[in-house]
Amino acid sequence: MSDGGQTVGFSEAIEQSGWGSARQREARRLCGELRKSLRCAEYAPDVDQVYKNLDSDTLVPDTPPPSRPASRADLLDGLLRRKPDPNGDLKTVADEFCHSQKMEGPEDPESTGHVLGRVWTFDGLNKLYQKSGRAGSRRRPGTLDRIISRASLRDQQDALGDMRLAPPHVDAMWSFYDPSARDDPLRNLPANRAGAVDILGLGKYHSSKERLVQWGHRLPGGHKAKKPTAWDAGVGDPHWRPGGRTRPLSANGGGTGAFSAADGRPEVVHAAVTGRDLAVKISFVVD
Amino acid sequence: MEEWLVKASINKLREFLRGRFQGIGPYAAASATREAELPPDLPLVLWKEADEGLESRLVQATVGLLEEIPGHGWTPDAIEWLCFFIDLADIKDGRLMDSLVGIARRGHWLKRASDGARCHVALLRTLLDLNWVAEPKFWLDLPAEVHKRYPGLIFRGLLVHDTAAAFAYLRGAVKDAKHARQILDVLGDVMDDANRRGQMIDQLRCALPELPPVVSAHFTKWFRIYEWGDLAQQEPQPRPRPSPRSQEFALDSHVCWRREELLPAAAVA
Repeated sequence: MSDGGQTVGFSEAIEQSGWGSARQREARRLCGELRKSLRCAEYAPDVDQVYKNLDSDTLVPDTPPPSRPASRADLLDGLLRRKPDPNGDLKTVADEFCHSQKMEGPEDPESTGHVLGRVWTFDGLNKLYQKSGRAGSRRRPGTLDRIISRASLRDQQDALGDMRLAPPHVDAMWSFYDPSARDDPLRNLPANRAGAVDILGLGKYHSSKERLVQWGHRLPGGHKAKKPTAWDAGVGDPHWRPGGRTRPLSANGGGTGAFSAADGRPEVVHAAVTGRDLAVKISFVVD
Repeated sequence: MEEWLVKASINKLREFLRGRFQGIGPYAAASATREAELPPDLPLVLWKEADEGLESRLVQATVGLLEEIPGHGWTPDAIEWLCFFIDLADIKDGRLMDSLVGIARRGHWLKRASDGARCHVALLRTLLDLNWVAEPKFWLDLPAEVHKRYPGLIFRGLLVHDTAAAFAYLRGAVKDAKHARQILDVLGDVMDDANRRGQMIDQLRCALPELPPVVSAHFTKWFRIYEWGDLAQQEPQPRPRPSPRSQEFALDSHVCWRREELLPAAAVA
């Protein structure tokens, strides 16, 4: 056991690692430190939730498998080898590790053929719009606002064209789908902001006033959606849970508590899509 | 905001900003997480909360980054995010402006950065947003590749000076729907201004018959979608014959001019 409390996956990783006893001892100590550095004091249900996600995700192996995804032992190995840096705490090192392990989970065959849904901030989408070679001022959100409010799906596809609907750098995008509404993942989603945010477990948006947008898209031919792993979720989201479904927010976790785990939606990660892949028009999530 | 960042030295801030915009190393944005944070988000929060000392260090770090380009890791994407940050932070520091204008005037990135046209355009967009004004010749003298790919930027640069000059340029430069989309985005910035809206509509109605059909159809369609008015509804206003002033840019902006009547022959060619 580490001095940070009980661990499951990390303990197994250390025991199966084949490391010498001194290195194992150091790894256990680091597990405790990692747990502390990932602690999220604002998340009332469990301040250690992020650590527990890394520790318990069954899609992440304990020790290096012959194929991807990377294992918990790989993360510990990275922490043991890290260069001393007064500014680089364990969280930063773990974050960088997660950053390099995106979309390594297994394919999700059940998602095939579904229109995938996404809820994101208008500000984020607008920044991508303004960055995409458009010549208008970056300070005025008017154009995208008009496209969302007034254009049909076909006109939105036309206006956004080959603009990516996800940030650059890491070619991964999170989406959800609704098994009971193959062509429209938004159909059964609550029409109001609080409900949509709750069901999708997007706790960061719950207390913020940011305008949100939602849409549906299809993956281009040949692209496969994958089940997200704890590495995909990274080290900053206590509202996420392993298992491939969104976890509705609980009443003491920033949400209304109106939804149960069964109301969550299957979620996937996949390569970024563009405006041409839209299948359900972009709309504002109403308050 | 993390404490080390608030107290960071110029070099450390430069390292942090470089990591954010280049998307590599420990400071890369958590862009693949569900909330998909964007590279400038955290630097913008830092800038907004900065005291005088941190503000000065951030400016010096940013100027340092501009001087690194083109260097390892400075892809067009990374350069665009850096420019985006300067723009949204609205940094009007004299040192930074001098650096930006110097790079723009020398065409430094055009010649040396990977996809120089794209990088140069990112810089010019930032300068326009910071209210920098360049003479019409500056815009018209930009390389052919910039004219071909980014006519909306040149239209915007000209519009700062003279509406008629900008629309004269539009007549010859806007060839397809992609170009028309760029112009619509520029118009989106001014159509909410009641004082300019009528003028813009008049100018575009005048220009419409001289534009390729695909472009005029695009304008007509999107003006209707945006509820800016029906471009096809009214006949263009009668166009008076050019006056001796036609070689100047200080024109009566309610009058529609043909591009060749307005611009130097070299620019038209």
